[in-house]
Amino acid sequence: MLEVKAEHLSFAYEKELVLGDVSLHAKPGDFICLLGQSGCGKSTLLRLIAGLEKSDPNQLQVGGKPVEKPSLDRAMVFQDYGLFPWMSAGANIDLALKQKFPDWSKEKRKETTLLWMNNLGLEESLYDKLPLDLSGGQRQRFATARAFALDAPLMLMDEPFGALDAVTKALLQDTVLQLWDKEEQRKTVFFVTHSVDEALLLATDIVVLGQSPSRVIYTHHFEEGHRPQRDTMFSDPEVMELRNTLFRIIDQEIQSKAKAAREAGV
Amino acid sequence: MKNLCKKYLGIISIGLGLVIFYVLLTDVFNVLSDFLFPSLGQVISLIPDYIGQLLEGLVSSLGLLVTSYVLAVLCGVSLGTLVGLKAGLRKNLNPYITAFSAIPVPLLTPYAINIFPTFRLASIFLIWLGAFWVILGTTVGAVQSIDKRYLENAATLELPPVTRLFRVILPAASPTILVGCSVALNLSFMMLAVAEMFGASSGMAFFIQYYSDFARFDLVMLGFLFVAAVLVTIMCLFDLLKARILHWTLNN
Ligand SMILES: Nc1ncnc2c1ncn2[C@@H]1O[C@H](COP(=O)(O)OP(=O)(O)OP(=O)(O)O)[C@@H](O)[C@H]1O
Ligand SMILES: [Mg+2]
Repeated sequence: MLEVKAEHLSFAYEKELVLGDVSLHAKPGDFICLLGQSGCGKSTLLRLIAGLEKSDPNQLQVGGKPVEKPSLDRAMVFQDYGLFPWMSAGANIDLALKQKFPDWSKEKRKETTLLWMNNLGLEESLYDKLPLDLSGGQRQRFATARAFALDAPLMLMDEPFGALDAVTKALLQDTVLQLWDKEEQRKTVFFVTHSVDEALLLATDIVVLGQSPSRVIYTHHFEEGHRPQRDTMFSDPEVMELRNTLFRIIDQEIQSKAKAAREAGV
Repeated sequence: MKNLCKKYLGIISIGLGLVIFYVLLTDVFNVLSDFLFPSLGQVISLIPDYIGQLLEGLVSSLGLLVTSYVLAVLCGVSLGTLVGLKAGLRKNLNPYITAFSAIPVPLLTPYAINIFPTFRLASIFLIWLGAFWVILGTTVGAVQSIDKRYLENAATLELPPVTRLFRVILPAASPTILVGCSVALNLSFMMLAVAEMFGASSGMAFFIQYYSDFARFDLVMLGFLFVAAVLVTIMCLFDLLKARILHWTLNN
């Protein structure tokens, strides 16, 4: 539901410029998939939006306001480290709920936690397990459940399904899409991925970042009702053409980077 | 019970081995001087007469030890956390923490005796100080090196300071802090012995010191065995507590 606007956003860690000139506009309810080669600054962009890194107030605005510090309005799903290992997986969600809804009773929090666990296909018996005793996929689902339970208007997901097997991944993609889709006021989602197909399946908008210091080199917007579906997208020539285009663009970036590296090497 | 025996079979057999070895060296072959190394039977026969004194010593020693150690943990962990979290404080204080912790605490004994009104307070201070530096140092390091990602995770949840401290910072730092605490516990045993040697009128180390002055090595041996039993018990309790706090780590 929150709008995100980046205008000529640039960012450097110490001296190393990572984001060169990134402009993008996420309207409320957009599902933005960020593509781009490793190291191009996708995570960095997410961290800026989350408020974990400082940004220029004129260059980046969320909900019309500059980003000053992290907030419960912007739920982050970290790739790993999403859960505190010293408390049970359920307690992790409970802690987040306690923060977001301070006047809820203990019972209500537990009920909500179990509801979201159920939504993500997690059995009730996993509530008391330590993150360490869960599988990678279960951990990722708990982290995702926590983000959804926070009911934040903006969700920032950094390669949340990167390390999962194909079946679990497909299941979670569908779940996330359903949960996002069924709401009257859809959340705005930023979703980083390495997979073109994942992006095609989830996004309302695909944004490709070039090599660092990066800028947006390609965007594609799907009209409502024309978004690719898992069962039909591979037989849809239009989607396949877009898929080829995306692969080509990303590949070109990699080639030109390799070339630049070769030239710099001589 | 049977399971318990099985679990501790190794420990029990080594213990028995040591006892047999000692008996062989003393009663059976008379290799060791029976003046310095009395036979175990003789030592055990002393228990009924001296158990009162030993227990009195235990109470007195534990009083010193527990007071000083608990105070050291409280001061060390709270100050250490504060310093560890504030980069500015840390930068300016670290050299001093290092410098002061380098002073061997036993050398401060004369100062402590002169400054404090009673021997008991002086002893508490010395034991406290020995444990404090170690806990302070490790806590600063532990808090400083907490994985940044946990702190960022906490930040996105907007956890208030107290929740952040007790639900994130201390748990994240606890494995390292507890290493410091266990080193400090060993140090405080040592400092306890030092402290009881100068001014105490009872205590476990006092008992040993007192009878060794009279060359009663049978009683000295009894004192050693008693202290050893107490230390082993305390260490076991500490390990239990540690395992409980660190139940979430891989090693447990
Ligand atoms: N904390 C940091 N300090 C300094 N440089 C950093 C830091 N984090 C990332 N970088 C650098 O910034 C660049 C972009 O990193 P970032 O993590 O945003 O890439 P990414 O697009 O998410 O890559 P990947 O797809 O591999 O996750 C990299 O060159 C990286 O080395
Ligand atoms: Mg990344």
